[in-house]
Amino acid sequence: MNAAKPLFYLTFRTSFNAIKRAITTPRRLISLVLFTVYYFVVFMRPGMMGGGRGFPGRGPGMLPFPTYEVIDGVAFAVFALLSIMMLGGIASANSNFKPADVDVLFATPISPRVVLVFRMVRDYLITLLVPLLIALLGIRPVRMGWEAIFRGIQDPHAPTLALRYATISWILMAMGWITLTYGISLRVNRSDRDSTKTRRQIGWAISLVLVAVVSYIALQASKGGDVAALLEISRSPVLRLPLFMATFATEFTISPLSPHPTSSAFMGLAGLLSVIMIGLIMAFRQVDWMYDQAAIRAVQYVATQKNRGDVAQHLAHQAREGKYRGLRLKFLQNVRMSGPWAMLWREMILVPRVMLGMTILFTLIALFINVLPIMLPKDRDMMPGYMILMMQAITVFMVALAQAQVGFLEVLRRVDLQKPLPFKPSTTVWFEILAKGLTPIFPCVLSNIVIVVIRPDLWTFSAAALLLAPSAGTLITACVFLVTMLFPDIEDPMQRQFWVLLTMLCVVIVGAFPTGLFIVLLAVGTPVIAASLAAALLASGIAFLIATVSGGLYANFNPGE
Amino acid sequence: MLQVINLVKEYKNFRAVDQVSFEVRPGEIVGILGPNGAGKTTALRCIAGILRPTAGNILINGYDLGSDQARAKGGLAFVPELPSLYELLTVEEHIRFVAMCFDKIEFFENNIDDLLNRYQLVSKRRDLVATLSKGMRQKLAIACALVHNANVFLFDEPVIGIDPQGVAEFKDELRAAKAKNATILISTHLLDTAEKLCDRVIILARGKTVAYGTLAELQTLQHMEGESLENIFLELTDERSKAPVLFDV
Repeated sequence: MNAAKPLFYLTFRTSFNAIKRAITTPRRLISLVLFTVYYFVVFMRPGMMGGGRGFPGRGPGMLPFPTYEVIDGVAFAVFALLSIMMLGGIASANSNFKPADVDVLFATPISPRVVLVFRMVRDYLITLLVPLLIALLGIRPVRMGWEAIFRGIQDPHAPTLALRYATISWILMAMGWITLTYGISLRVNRSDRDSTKTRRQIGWAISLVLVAVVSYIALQASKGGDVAALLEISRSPVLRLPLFMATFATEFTISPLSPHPTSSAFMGLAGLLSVIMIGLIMAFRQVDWMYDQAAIRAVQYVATQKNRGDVAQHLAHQAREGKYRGLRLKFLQNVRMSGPWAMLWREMILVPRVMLGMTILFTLIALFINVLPIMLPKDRDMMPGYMILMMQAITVFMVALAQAQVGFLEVLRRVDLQKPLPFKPSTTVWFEILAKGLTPIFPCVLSNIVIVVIRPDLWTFSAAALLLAPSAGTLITACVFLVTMLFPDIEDPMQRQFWVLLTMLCVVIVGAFPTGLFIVLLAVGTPVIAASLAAALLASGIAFLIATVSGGLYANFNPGE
Repeated sequence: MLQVINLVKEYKNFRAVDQVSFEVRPGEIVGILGPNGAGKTTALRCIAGILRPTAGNILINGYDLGSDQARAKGGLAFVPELPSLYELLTVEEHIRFVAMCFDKIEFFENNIDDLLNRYQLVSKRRDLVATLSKGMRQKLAIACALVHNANVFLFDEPVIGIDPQGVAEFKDELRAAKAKNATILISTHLLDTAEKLCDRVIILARGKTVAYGTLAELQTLQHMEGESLENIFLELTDERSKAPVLFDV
């Protein structure tokens, strides 16, 4: 314990200082209070107050299946989902060392074993919180669901007992994943020649397992999608074998309800403990490689780590290493735009270069989700039309948010280059917002062309969507810029997370006005195009207002402070 | 005392350090020189116990870094090039943390005021590291290296970003440490500084040792009597032909 004292000190002081820093200025404190109140009202209160309205007519008592099988299926699904989530990081557990760990901690006489145990315990404690966070976000449906699956059980103690066993299962499964992740990560990330081969093999194996699991589920679901079929799928060895950790955890969770409780509990427990042991042995046998790996990664990916989530910086780093050349669209390079419009031109050049993959992905997702509603039967009134509007709102939200969050980090970094340009700060800000806010038009135009071709009768909704998309995109982007100006500590990862959360909050609050106007106008019988035009004008007006306020903040922004 | 014996470090298919051997005796300053990518930083990081050598041995005060890491590192202080520090610790907390790692908290408590004074960090002691300038960070890294009373010092480009006064003080610090019998290995691109400060130099190129000895020994070896270290360095590393012409008059 004494050897780990400096590590406890480091963790405590950095966390304490980060929290202190986040709340010591009035601006940050007010925002934090606002966010907490919003979070409590939206997510927590309905669940805590109890007596939620629920869904009438969907009483859980109506489940026509043997309850044991339902519980088994639900438990497996939950553990399998958590396993798949953890599988993604299996080769990179050792990558979250900071460059400061390399430069300061690694040169000290603290044993790498102590550091490994400390990090395992820390990661383990964080992992244990994952289901808790999921539960907090949807405490009400989680509680309803939990009560629903036990409604058919005679024993009144069954839910409590199963919850206890599920908790133990999760505690053990999380530990199993953490130890195994460290063991594998240390094996495949060595700087020797063999590790690259092993890493590739493990990557292929994981991909194959995932593809097999997803293909099997999709194939079976296509044959018949009722609950009985889903339960059958969950019991299949095709899922139970590769997702062995989830299988062990499920076995232990449902053991009190099983006809053979002792053997069931033993099997689950023995399986989980074996995985933990294997993981621990693997990790400790390779502990001498830990510093080496972290140091090499820190050198190679220092920019990536520092700018996590910053695509532009990541690509710049890739370009410096010669791994990225950048897309050059000749027809765009010859376009002439002068004055502040040059910022729009720059964005047209940069968006395909920085966000080509993301834009294609978003366009495909947009196409899929936008075309989905029109597949509904024609006799369902105008429901698909409103679905089109909703889906396109989601598209605009996704694209604008991603584009703005990436783009404005660059705006802050290039402030020394941008500020001397011959424009008023508010002009610069407005064109920056406009440049990024108009990006979502591309997937929307494409989607609406497809929609009108397939369902010409829905043209009014497509036109309304096209009217709303640019203004909604601009409004969302304006919100991101405002929050960016209020919290410009982009190099601090904690501040950046806070910035993301507050951006969402700002978008929700500000977006409520045009959305509300649109709904009210539709409710009083206004044609959808007229309603969308009014909402678009309001959204643009608010965006302009925010841009003006942000312009003042931008004028006073000094990256050195 | 620092002994490096046949040190090799490979990254996948690339050999960054290739059979490098040298020693630094107590009371001696040795400079490790070389063009960019020569393997200086990799060698220093291996000696600091950050990178795992592919082959070879490193002995610090007689303790083998491979088999007795804790004792070997106990007497070692490392100042990296442009050090990454814990941004969310204050200056004082950062130094305290390093002292705790070396189990020298009493030494820290007795010397912290003097240390902060020497490196003009007194007014910054309660500031977060994140708020420090580049030069102040470097000073903090040096202060951290001095907090546990080490006798073997590794400096990787230690004066980058430090003001002239800071550089002069650092040089005085090195001379004082040398007078106290400290073992000092310093990597630098400042060849005139190396010439004045170092008792011996080791010149690396593409991971290999191309020269090792005192300036006089290198001059004799290269038949360049009276030449500066810079000229010998350029000759040995073949950098002269690559030097770009900045002003073509």
